[in-house]
Amino acid sequence: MALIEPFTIAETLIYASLLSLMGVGVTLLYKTSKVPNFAHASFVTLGGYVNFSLVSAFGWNPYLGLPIAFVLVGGESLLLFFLVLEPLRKAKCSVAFLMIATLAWHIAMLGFLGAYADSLETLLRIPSRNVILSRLDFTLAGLPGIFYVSVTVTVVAAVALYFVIERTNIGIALRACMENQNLAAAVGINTTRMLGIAWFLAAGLAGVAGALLPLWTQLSTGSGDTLIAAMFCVSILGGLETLYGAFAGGLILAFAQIVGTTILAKTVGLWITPYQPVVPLLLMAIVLMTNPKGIGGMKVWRRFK
Amino acid sequence: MEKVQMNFEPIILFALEVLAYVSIYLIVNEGLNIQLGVTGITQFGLVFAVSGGAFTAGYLATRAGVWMFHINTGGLDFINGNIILTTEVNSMTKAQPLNGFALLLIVIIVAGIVGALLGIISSVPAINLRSDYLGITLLAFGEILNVFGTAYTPLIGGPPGVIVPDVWAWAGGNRFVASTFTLVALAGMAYLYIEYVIRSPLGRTMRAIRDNEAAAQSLGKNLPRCRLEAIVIGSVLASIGGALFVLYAGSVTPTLTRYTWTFIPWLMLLLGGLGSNVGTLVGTATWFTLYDLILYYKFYLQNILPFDVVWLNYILLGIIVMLILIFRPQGLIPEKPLRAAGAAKSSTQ
Amino acid sequence: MTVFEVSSLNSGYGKLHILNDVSLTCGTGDLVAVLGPNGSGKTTLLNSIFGFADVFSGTVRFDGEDLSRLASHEISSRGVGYTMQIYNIFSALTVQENLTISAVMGHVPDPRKNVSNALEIFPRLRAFLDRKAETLSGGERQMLAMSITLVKSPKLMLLDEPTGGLSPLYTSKIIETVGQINRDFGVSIILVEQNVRKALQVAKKAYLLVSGRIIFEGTPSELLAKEDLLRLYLGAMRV
Repeated sequence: MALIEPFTIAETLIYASLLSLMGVGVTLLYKTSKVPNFAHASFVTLGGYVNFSLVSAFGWNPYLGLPIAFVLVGGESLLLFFLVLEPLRKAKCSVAFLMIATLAWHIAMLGFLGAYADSLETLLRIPSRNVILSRLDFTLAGLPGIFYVSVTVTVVAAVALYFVIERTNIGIALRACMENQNLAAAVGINTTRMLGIAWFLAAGLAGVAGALLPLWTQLSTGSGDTLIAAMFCVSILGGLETLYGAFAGGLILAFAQIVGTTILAKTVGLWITPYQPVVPLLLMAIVLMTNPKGIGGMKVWRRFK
Repeated sequence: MEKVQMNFEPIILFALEVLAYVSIYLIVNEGLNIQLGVTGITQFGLVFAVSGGAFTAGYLATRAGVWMFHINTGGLDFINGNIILTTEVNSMTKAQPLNGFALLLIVIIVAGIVGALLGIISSVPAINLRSDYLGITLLAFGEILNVFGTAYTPLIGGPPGVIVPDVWAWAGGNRFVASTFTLVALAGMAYLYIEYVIRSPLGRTMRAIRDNEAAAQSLGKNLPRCRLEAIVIGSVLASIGGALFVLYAGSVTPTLTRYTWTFIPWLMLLLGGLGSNVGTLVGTATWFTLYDLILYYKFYLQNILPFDVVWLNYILLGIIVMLILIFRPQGLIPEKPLRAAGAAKSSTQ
Repeated sequence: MTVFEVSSLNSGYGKLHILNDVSLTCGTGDLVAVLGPNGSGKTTLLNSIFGFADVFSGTVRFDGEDLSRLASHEISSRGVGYTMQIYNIFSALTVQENLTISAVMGHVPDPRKNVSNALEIFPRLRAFLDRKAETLSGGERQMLAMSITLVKSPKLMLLDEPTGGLSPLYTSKIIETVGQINRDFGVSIILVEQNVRKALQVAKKAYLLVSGRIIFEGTPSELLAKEDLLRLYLGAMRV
């Protein structure tokens, strides 16, 4: 008797793809702006609602919304970057305050999205909570379109990212900024612009993941919040030394969470299922605590007071 | 002798309730302040200790009442028979103020112990993790506990939660007066205690760690030990605050969110000013004043807006915090250099 | 003609006040040495010029322009190059990438030519072009650090202890090259150094910075004549 069905594997790969798209952005932002970005949760949710709005308003194919979500969410993140984070960075703000700033932005966005969703319902009579678009999806060889699209998008994103980062001058400049911002400025790199590019990319990818989300599972204003632990976990699992680690992290977490819980449920009993949200949290905490102090040895970390 | 029943205007009841919540939050915020403001620990997991205390109250209050007042449970489960058993406990707390206070005391003490234990657990990552990693780890701890509270039904009955006995039932119609007075007194004690800690040698070490870790270490201060003490003290207070919250509200559910019990306390501390005890008080009071103004207008706004007014709360909160961080990160009451407890006034000051 | 001028500079980091009323000039094509004991503020001086320290008062003018208004990368594009004391190369990038990004970001007309010119001055680096910069030895790193600055064809170079921690052989080589760059290419140079004798061999003017204040300004021979200053602040004559 098969412990795991093929369908579960497909589910896992979809989840892994979405997680990777989200997690790589968290890693990119952590390496460039040195802050774990809590607003990533609302980037994802925003992407979801951008796509949902387009589909509801124009009846589009849900996949057409992907590039639009990329651009809009990328653009929204630039607001956060220029209005909030850059002023704080110039004031030599501590990382704790930067984290709270991203959390504050996220909460404001949460309010905005909540108001938006409510307004859709009251003004346009469009139900906008717990919405799902999978009915608009195509099927191929017994598997839903989201499977093919999410995996393809993720692979393309990984390859494109690799190409940009390793083979272009912008990529070299970005890597320079990740290692040493002062030196980068000294050689003439406009670090503000580089960081802005990083935010746009990272948020754009999160937006794409969010746009894909309602094709797989229910979308609500709290979707990003539910996933933020997983996003951080993926980034941390992948290791913050390399950008592409998030793709591995996505696979690991997806397998641990879906396949792992399925196996556990069948072996120790169904009572384990409500504990599933603990998986990313526990993994994250364990990795953070067992990593040797080499965390601080990875790059120069100047503490500004 | 007839009990005096005061006829309360709704506005007085409202004021009493605000005062009660200010007191509860003040206790929790003092717990955060000693960790974040005084010792510089990135405590993003305040909800860990608060949930600990809240769950303790939910689990223990009825059970302790049943034990203390020798109530026959008749084989009833504490979760399924929650309402019945709690009502029986209430009849005992209603009869005699000492019953209520005894129950309150037991819950507070156990919540404190639970807080201390959770604090010890939280201090493990604090030994050598950098502030951003530490923040995330502590956040994870808090979230894990909440998942546990939701998934493990025997604790507090899963998502619907449980109700707890009213330790102020003896006050009858004056319940709000009695509870508020108790909470204000407890908050006052917490405030004085933290003030004492801040001025003590321990407090000086804490601030030394916050301001210049390298220097503190070179002076021979035991950093991990000091952080441990800060986190434990803070967690004890946060836990007690959580327990009081549950006892005041009368029930507990496992949805104590990171928003209400981590973000909001940070907001209050940032508003008032990190580090200084007065700042914590000012921040808490100011926040509640603001919040109640919002509540007041909520009623009017609700009719004209196409969305739930609570979303405006979120937007406003987020904006306020960002504004504070950008324009006045030191808060309303910047920290001033303190005289040590018991020290004579220096002639150079 | 004075191309570079620091006037009454007061700077530091946050609440820490390090430089007090520091003034300094450098003419076109001059090599100016800034000497002083450890902790005197030499690095802070260079940091202040480039915007990595907080300037409380005073001005920094290059080619008539006030640098304190500019962002660091803009200062770089004005033709000021800064070779820092530590963390002065991108370890994660290859040697080639280090040089390329500096040349490209320096907006020089022909990046490839500039890179090969820099490699003419430090031919040893040719062997390591495709290796990650972190694999280089101390002396090679210093060479790379200076090349990164050179590759931008700067008009003014700020060098912070380029011989720090190097063997006598490397030290001579580096100082020689510094002098060569100054003479042959007319690059103005502000050289912060611990190695007094070597620095004074190539410098046209010298400053002595102690505890954030300039206590001597003059020619190298004038400084060498002041035995008391040398003994007090610069230790015995260093070879």
